[in-house]
Amino acid sequence: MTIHIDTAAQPVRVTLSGNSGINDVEALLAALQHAGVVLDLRAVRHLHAAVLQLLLQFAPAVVADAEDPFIHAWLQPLLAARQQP
Amino acid sequence: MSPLLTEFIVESREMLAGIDADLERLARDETTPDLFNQLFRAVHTIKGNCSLFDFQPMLALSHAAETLLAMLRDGEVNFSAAIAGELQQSFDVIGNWVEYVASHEVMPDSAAEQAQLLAGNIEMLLPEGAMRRDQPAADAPATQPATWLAQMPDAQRLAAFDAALAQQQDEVLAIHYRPGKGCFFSGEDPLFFVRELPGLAGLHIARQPQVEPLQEAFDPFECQLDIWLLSTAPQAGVQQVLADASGVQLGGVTLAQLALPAGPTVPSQALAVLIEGLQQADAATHTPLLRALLEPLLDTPVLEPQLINALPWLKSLLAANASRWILPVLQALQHGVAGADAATDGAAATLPAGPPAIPPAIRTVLQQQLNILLADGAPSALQSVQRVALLCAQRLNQPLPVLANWQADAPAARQQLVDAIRQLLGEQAPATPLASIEDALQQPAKATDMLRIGVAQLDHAVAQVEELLIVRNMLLGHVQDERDAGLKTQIAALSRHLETLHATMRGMRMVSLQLPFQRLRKLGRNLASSLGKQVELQLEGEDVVADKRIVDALYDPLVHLLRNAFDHGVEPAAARTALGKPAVASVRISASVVHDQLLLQVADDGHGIDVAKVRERAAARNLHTEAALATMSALDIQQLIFQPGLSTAASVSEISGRGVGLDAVRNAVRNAGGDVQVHSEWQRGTTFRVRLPLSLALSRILHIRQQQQWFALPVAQIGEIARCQSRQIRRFKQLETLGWRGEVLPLLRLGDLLGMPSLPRGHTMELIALDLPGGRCLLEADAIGETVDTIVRPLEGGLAQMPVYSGSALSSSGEVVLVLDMQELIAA
Repeated sequence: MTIHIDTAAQPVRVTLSGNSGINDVEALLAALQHAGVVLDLRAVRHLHAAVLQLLLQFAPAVVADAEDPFIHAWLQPLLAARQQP
Repeated sequence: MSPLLTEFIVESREMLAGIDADLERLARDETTPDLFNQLFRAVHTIKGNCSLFDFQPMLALSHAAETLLAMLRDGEVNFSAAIAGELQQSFDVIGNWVEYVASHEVMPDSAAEQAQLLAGNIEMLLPEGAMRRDQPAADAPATQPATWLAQMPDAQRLAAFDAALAQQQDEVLAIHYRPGKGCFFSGEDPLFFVRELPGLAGLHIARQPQVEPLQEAFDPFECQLDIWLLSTAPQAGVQQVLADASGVQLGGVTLAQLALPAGPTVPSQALAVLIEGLQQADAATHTPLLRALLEPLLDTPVLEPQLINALPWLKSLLAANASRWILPVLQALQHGVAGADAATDGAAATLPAGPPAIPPAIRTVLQQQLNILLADGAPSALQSVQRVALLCAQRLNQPLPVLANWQADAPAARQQLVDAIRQLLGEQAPATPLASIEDALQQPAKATDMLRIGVAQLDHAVAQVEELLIVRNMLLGHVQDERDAGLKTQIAALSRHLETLHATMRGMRMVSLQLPFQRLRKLGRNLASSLGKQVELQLEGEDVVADKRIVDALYDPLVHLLRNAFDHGVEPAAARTALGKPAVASVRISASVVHDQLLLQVADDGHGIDVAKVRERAAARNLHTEAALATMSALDIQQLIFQPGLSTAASVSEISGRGVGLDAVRNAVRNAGGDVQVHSEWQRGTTFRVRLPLSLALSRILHIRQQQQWFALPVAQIGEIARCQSRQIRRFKQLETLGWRGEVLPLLRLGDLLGMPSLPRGHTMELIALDLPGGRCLLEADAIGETVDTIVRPLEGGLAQMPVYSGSALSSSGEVVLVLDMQELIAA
């Protein structure tokens, strides 16, 4: 499992881990429909372009930064830019 | 195969079918601008579709054809037979490519060369230079650096700037990576390439510009990313990593272009002073000069924002001792890229200024507001939209007219607000009123009125409805004795609706003959040229619809018949003239619906069937006795050509094979539930009539049981069911017979035929009298069950190879029952 969706949490928390691939897209799309969903990227090692595309589209707030240097340095700023009103 | 590619193939085939019909009209001299326009639009669609994939040759050829058609439409080129020929050939080739792609998913290797040749031919038909006027989008330069560079954070650009200075490079590598929309399906992960990119120095990811900006549907499996990258690594290394990435274009960005002024700027006096000072001096001395000029400026108590933004860049330049870049970078920082453009000596002069950059978040918000406005014109909506739009305008440092009169004149205010937001978005403020915008918004909805559904999915739905029909049958059985009139009425109503639903669903499987006819037309042209015969092929009735399975099944027999007509049917021109016939032979294929059946006729005006010769051959092959042949009518003799091995042609050509043709035709047609007949007049021509069912109709079957297994027989083959006494059976060697209505008939046991044991016989038994083409016989099974109306489906997989089963049906208890072909079973 590279995607974990905690619907009990308030707000709903999506945790990506390991190599987040195309197989996670459907679950992620469903999870991102929740209002105010937050994102935990700490343990994720790679984001597939389809996953990033979804994250850019829905721009969930990142509550745990990625430990992966590439994601942290290059992709998170893109997500942060989307969160501005 | 990716769904996108499947869609491409289906749509291209449709388009090409339409194009083919249009070309046919062209050949009949219907050269109206409307027709050219129709062709132009179809080709344009194909071109647009193939640019989604890496089908360069198809793109190039369709572009050439498109250009030619546009000029024909606009009257810039006059139509000629040569043009018709080129167009015909080009679309034939494109059609071949589409079929190749359908089976191989790539273009054939020869395509590039072929495309070049054909496009060259087309170009020669055009006035000089016409082909250049509208290049396909793929050739357009990829760079509009101002926009996407501005989206990259300052820190990234500055880091790239520093890296380039450290390596004493004047440029960094810019990569525009726009993966194909279907790239996820082919396993391409664009971010993987980005991650692996050597010397990554800048990254901006945008959504690809949409054709319909207001489109709502979001498909997570369609790649919509538009990726811009900067790299300070050598180009070769970058190319190596990106070798397998689709839609990559490389370019360069100069140091001056990287240095974009940040944020809203008030022109800085200090920068102007610096530039003026430096312009007077020799470029080689700019480093010490700048250092000297900067020092007093940095001592001033309040620094101008523009200077503060410029400082990091200047510090890097000073640290790297890059004198020659100081002035261009300063000018860029002062004016943005446009300034750099004007001021530098061509160092960075190639790139036009883009529209003012709008942060994507703001663009999204504005577009949402626009959607709200278009959907809702209520004053309360206007008020909230205006508030949001004002906030956006402030962030963009742009004015937005404040609307005071939104309550008094809501429509006008709405229009004003729409225009204003469009202006903010950098779109042309449209002169068109809102009403026509709304009309335009309706357009895509109309265009997507059609929905493509996979045949398998539809069949599944049909099967579900059929299940319901079976349940209905069972219900009807139960309520027969029911006294509750209300319940009976309700079930009757349910039954009616189910039948309507079933008919509707079956209607969805109906397709026209357009596609097979299109392929036949092409085949006809090829045949005529390879045989060196002049033949006019006419096709009629391509609008006739039939079940998809039937339409699929009729193509091969028609190909055989068409080949037969071209090869054996019609004579060469010289022979025809000698006979006083028109030199150009005629072959006509027509489709029509007669008595709920599909009637296909393939008629030629050739020499016809030589009845005497057929009779001779049939005798030689012992098909019938000579006496029988002598009494058969000419028409009956003609039907013998469907017998295996009875070829009528004097010469066996490679086109029509070696006498296996016509019996294969008959088998194929019979397998699809139809029949074929021939009617020929000597020296006048031959007509083949193929009859096929229009759809998978209900058939009546009788269930019979052997041991524990149920089978079914088509009721059409059954004469009657009768009870008789076992002592009436007479045995003659292995053969059992029974006297029946004054005849002695063979008695067959189903168990023996199927190789299954039979139950011991009682004193009385029920027998099925079968009326088979080979004569009457009696069949004995362990038990005889009910008769039902049901759908007999053709068998699939391994069972399809077994001729003793003609299909399968579902019993009312939901079991699959195999339908026996008694004729085959007895012969086996």
